[in-house]
Amino acid sequence: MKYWQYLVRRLAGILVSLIGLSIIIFTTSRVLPGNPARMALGALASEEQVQALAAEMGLNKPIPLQYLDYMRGLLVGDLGTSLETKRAVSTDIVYYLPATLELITVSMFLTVVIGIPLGVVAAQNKDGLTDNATRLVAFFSVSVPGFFIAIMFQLLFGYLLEWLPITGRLGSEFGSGVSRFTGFLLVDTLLSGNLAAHVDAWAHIILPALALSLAGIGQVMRITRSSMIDVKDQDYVEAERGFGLPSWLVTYKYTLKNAFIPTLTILGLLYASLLGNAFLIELVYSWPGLASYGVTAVLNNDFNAVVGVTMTIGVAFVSINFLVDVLLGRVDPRIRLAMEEAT
Amino acid sequence: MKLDEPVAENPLLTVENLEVGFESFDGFAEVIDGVNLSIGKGEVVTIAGETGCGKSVTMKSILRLLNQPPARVNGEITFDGTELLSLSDREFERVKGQRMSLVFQDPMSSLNPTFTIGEQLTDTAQFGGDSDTGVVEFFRRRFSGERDEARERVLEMLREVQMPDPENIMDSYPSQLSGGMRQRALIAQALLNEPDLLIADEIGTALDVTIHDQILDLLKDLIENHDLSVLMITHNLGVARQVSDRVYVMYGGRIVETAPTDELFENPKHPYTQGLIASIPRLTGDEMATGIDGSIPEYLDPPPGCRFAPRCPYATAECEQARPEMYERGPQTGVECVLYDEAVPASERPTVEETRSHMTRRPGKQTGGD
Repeated sequence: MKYWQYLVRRLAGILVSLIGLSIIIFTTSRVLPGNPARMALGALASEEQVQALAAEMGLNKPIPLQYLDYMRGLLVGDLGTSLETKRAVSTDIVYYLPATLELITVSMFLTVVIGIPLGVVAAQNKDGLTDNATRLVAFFSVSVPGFFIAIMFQLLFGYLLEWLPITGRLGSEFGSGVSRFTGFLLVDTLLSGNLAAHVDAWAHIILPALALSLAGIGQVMRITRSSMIDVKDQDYVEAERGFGLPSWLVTYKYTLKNAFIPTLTILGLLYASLLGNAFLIELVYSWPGLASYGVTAVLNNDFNAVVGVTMTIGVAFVSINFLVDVLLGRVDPRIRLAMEEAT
Repeated sequence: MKLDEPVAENPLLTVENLEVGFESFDGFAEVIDGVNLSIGKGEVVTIAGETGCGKSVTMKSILRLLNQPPARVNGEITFDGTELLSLSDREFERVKGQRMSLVFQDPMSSLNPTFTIGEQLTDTAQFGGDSDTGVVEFFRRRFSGERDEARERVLEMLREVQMPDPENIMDSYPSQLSGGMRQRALIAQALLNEPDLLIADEIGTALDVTIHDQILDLLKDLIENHDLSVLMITHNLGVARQVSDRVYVMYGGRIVETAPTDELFENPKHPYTQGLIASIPRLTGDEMATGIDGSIPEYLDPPPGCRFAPRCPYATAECEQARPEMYERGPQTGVECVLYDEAVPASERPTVEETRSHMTRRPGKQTGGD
């Protein structure tokens, strides 16, 4: 079996798990206490009005039939209407998702470019000053809640130093100068040719992204450190050193590639978990993202929105993990070869 | 007479009074205790001994592969006139990378699993021994015509080590190769930069017997063609006999006997060497020795005298008190055992048969016939 055939099989498996996820989340949202029709209409609406809306929404049908209706809609991109915003859930998701994805992507980028080098340096100076310092930073960043750090950042960089804006994605003065192409402001500002707005978008995203990435930086740093130390003791690294190859080459090419394998798995999981965990950071920075939309939906029993958001996060989760599998196969030929051999 | 000067005639590498200890939670372990050895230019020398007697530690101290601390290395190691222990790491790296090469023990774990054979060997060919190469310099040379030349050199070397289908092997990952092929790739890698001294740690022992034999034959040819000086480390006396000119027998962190190979096997002197030879299973004979009784010394608290005394059938009170001298018993031959003092009559010195008779034996397989 070729590796791509294995990946195709993985894709089929992913489809099955997404269907499973949709069944679970749909059923849960329908059996939760509270009448969505009543929630939508408010306390003052009459019982007849509520009944009428419930019938219109199909809430009187058995749950399996409701599910089939929902899946039929899903195939044409119809996720139902949000009871809260009164818009199509799909419209809302398309609107809010890019903001969250942008935030998460920037924080993943920070996680990689800060976490991995620090892990390597800590491993090189095992038990030295740098190692202990980074260990301390890692414990701190993992144990202090992200929202607390977010608020501290706002106080320090926004309020005291006045270097960076505290909330939002873009200064109001740029609102009209940027057209929406992708929903990613860092991209849209460039596509609109508005460099000042681009810089402003960076200024807005850097604090929430950093606050969101700190816990991940700590984890990635520690994982990279321990796997670097592990790989450094392998015979092949000792041999490469023994042949007189430049030590930076041995470290960054021959050791790091092997040490990157566990880190890559962690990065995939981090990316997916940030999708859900970005909520508090989004709240603190008034970031109009999917996570805060989803939490509002849960609190208001906005069941179409809840299912829509959960499915979106689910799709993102499995896609990222699929991507990680593809990358793992690229980085570690043993994984690829093992798959090709196991016919 | 004492034999403490290096025994090689034209030495490339000499090790004098090497002492290596390790700090541990339980105390200080004195592992290597005053080892002297030398390798002449073009000579193949083996250090033989059972597992745990300090062969690898000796090799690693020569190559500066021990982490210090916990290890502590003292003594004098001279390579072609240069004292190695006093060199800075940088200077040492240069000497090592350009003039010494190491073939590691386990071919399964000594090739990087995430790079193709071609990639690792070509890097070694191009940058091995140039440990000062900076990043910019590296990329300039990596993507120049020099890379193709290096690749050619690797292919040639793979052919020389009789690698089947070398073109294809270049694009393969280690996990796609058999053990024998990996061993060949490692030998090729070690020889790419034309070292003067090759250090081989238990070469081929991880392979099955026929492949092991092929590898040793190959090694013999390569030693001749490349005019190599070789330090082999093995627990397998057969290997020592097959390839080496001279043998050091090591026990408990000391050299207990040294002799030219033929002399050592025909006329082993030290009770330990005799025990090793007596333990080799024979096809004839109706019983076989199960090995020397007892086990290697505890390095945290080694026996104060001869370290072999607790296992030696001929040990006396004298052996347990003081370390014996190295007595010279012929050209390039020495033995560290009081039985070889000139005052001891030859008739009192044991033979292999006598040593065998002191060992635990069990019935061997009946060979049939008479």
